[in-house]
Amino acid sequence: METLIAAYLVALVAIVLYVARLGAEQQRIRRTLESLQSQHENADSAGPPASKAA
Amino acid sequence: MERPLRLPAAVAAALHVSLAGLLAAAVLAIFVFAPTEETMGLTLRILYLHVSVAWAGLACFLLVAGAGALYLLRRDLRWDHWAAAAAEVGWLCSTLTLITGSLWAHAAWNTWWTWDPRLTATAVLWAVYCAYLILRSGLEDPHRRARAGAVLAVIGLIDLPMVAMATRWFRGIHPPSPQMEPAMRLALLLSALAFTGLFGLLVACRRRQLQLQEMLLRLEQDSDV
Repeated sequence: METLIAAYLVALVAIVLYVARLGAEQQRIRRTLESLQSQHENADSAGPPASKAA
Repeated sequence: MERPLRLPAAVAAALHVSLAGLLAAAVLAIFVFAPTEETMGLTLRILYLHVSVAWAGLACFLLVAGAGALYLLRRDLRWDHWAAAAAEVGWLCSTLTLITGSLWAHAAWNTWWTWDPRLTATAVLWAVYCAYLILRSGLEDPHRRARAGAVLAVIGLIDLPMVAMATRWFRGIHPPSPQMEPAMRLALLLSALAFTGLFGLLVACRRRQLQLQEMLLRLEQDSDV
């Protein structure tokens, strides 16, 4: 019985840990995307570069 | 720049619900409906998990090598994303195969490990997965990484027939496909389908992440320029 529980518990923990890793990676991607978006918006609001404006 | 593949929301929801149903059916079949075997008792129920993760580990390696070969032919990084995602999930399955097999071996043969041909071939497959992941982590350039990984995966393919056929080609302690009652066969089929679906979903999610990561990297490089 202990062996059976150990086998299924190991599988469950391994899968949960991998899904948690995927979740953490997804969060990181979202943060990077948001920072890129805000950089882009700041660049837009700053107006065209001086050389082009001239 | 190509958009990441995404299923329509209704199709994705239907697939997720079907997979949840299949997993629930597999759990019921394994722990409730499958009969308890006389010699091994409850421990035999490890078999449903062990065979399912072993099959998923082999299928993932086929995907790694297949996607790697397609990358070598077309030089398209999308194939490399499939290979990398399948390698991570395949490594997980392969590790679980060794752990559950070891637990089974201790209960059935009173040893944690023996150099049986099937066990050795499975350990070699696990080592190939490890080598693949370590090799990739050491290379920065995406195309160099994809090329090296693909070559290793295609070479590693040699081990697959050894894992699959070891019990027929060589004499060892690992049993070939055992005779089973219909209810046990059904439980095994359900669990194999459910775990294949679950690991397939994980591969698809990871592939999408890798594709997004690559797109973000290109956006970052563009914004730096």
